Amino acid sequence: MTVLTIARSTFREAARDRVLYSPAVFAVLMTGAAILVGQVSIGIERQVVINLGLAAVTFFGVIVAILVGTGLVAKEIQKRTLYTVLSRPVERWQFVAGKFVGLAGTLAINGGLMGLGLLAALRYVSPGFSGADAWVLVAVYFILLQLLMVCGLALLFSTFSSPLLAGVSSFALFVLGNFAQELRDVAQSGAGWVHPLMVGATYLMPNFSAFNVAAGVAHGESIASLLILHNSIYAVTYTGMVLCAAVLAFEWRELQ
Amino acid sequence: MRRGSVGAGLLLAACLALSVALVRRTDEQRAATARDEVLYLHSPALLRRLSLGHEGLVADLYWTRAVQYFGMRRHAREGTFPLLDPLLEIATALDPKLTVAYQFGASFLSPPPPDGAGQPEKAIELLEFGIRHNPEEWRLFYNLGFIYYLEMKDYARASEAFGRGAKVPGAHPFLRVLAAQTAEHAGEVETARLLWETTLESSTDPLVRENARTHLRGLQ
Repeated sequence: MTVLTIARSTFREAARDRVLYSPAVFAVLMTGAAILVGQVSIGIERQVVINLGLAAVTFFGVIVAILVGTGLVAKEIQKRTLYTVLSRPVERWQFVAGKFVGLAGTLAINGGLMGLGLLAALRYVSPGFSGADAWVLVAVYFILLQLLMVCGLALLFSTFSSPLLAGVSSFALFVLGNFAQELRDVAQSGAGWVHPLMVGATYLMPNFSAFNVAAGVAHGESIASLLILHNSIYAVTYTGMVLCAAVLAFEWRELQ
Repeated sequence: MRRGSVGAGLLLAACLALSVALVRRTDEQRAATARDEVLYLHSPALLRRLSLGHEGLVADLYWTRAVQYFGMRRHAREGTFPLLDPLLEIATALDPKLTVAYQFGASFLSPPPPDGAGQPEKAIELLEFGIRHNPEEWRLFYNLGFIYYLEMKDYARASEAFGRGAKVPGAHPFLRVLAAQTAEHAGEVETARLLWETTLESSTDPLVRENARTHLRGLQ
């Protein structure tokens, strides 16, 4: 109950910060792109709408996850509201979990609205829905899973560092997560005591390689159900791990 | 309205007008000097990494840039298209399923200048790459045979390409006819007419259809 109360308050705060305006910007971007591409290119209207739409969902989502996520704890300390909350019968883990659920909900609503906007833009460039459109929604789902992990990382960093440092670290891990496969290959080629250290470090990073399906779905390719299951379990596991680390860091933190 | 607001509004409008005038002046100066078109990033592998998982979007941008580049230079009757092949190579390496880039890209590369880049061998390389990644696309075989026949005058290879395409499930029935026709009646006007008629019939793109009509009128 406490977790949900904090989650609701986090969601309301994000809405007050006009975070939910991004789908409107997204809608303008999609409509503009669909019209422009028809004028300046040949035969790729549908691909551009899908590729640009998925890139925009990622871009807006990562910005919201990092900007809001890194300020979650710092803002409460700055405004001294954290002390009021913690003076009540609220455990620190409940505070962290509530903040995460609130931000994850905001991102899910944001991403969901943009996903619907993407479908509407697709409807505009190619009238009538096809089975391939469902895979676009799966690609949006994969992006939301990535955002969940980024959101967890932002919250983790915000429990022990400044918002700026937390933002830079979260973004760096988001970028590195896209190179996870290559980094693991490089780490495997290491020798001596460095080898296990490097391999271990690559497993601590989020692995976003398997979540990038935009190019395939733009051509109507299907996504294996095993990949959907695997990515879902991985995202939940990784986010769980990061949240546990965030709870530990917050439990150990001295609050004056 | 407050005087301060009016002053700020007027100043804003004046600054905007001045900056627009300056940008226009700079553009005019740049147009007057010969501008070299540059391709800063040549490596598809690097671009793939920089795209952070959105290589499809980068491929779309490179394909659009190739279309714009070809269109502008062709319109200006430049006669040379040095960046066309690298642009197409990057777009297709980033998204090997971008079949439109093979079909149109080959038709940009193969015709002699000033209508095209005069690089039919590059067009063939592009199409062979496309066929390796999209063996189910019979149109790519058709485009390949077309270039062998009309640009390279290599009728045996044209017939072979049409024959390979005819074996693709769902291929246009005319490919089988074309394979036989190019083998038996190579170099004849009637065969060329057949090729353009197939293009006209099988394409839905208005530009391609208009091009085919123009060639058919030329053959009459």
